[in-house]
Amino acid sequence: MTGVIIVSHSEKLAEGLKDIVMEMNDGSVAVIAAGGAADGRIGTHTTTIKNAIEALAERDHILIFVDLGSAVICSETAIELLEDEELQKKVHIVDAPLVEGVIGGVIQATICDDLEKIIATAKEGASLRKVH
Amino acid sequence: MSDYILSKDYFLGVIDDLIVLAEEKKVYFSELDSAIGDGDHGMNLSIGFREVNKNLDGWKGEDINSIFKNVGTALLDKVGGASGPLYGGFFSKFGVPAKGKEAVDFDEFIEMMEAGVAIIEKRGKAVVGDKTMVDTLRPAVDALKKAYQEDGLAPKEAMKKALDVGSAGSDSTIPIIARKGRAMRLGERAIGHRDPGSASSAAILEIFYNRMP
Repeated sequence: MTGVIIVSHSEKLAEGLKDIVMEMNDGSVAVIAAGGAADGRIGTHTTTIKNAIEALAERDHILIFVDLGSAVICSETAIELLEDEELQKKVHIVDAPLVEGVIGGVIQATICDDLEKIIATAKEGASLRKVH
Repeated sequence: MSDYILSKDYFLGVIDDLIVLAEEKKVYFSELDSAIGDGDHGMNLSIGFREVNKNLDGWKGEDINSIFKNVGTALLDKVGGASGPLYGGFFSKFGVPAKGKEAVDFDEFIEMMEAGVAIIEKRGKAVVGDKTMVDTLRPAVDALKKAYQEDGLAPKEAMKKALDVGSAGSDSTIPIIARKGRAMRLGERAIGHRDPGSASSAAILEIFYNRMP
């Protein structure tokens, strides 16, 4: 079973994206919105991300999706600061566009439990054609 | 080994000055950041060091390592954006070579600086020339080592050398494009602007220098 963490500079963006993807989630994928700085300002917050990872500790794998810049550094630092090495190994930051990646990844995770397939599907979001 | 000693009081003085710096330079750092970033560098440091200020009295009885670990944790937790993990990491690791100590000699101080800068490089994955705080810190620490350990300068003179080299490193971010951070997306529009992280790093080095006996 997969856990997904949405790390955006905007708390609203993370929550909103979670709302969208939950429409397509059959309930098997746990999704946590971990957006915004500690005080609700625009930014990313290492402790919020670390808490989200720990909340998903029982999941087989945990995928973090990021918007830009410090979302990556904060996510990497959150993983580094985990005291549980087994948990550390379960966490993957996915190099995918945030919206398309989360939607593709979560849907794939409702279909199968194959980590590589889920990540590959999420990454395909980068080449998705929207206008034909 | 030398008989030059930096005591816990020195480091507590540095922290006091950092708290003042974060307030005094808040607008300046944010203005630099507005030009090529998201404009919150000064605000972020101010929020972080206000948290340090609020708790500092309770930490003063601890050893140098624990004090800086607390500073680092406060910054990590309160500073939004990349500077949280970067400066948070710097101070968390800075104290490690001083574990259990109430004072350090200058070789140990250099180790502390190296430990702090190394975690910034590791977390930020930045190298000199990327237009980041590393442009200030890496040349400064290398100059500090060379000045004291090879050229035989006295500790405070060696730190002056490090500060001069670090400040020049910050200046060197002005004419270049960014290869890290939000400014990376600006391409040539970043040219002509000083990197805010390089500026705050130089200001931090200046405090370490000014406080030295």
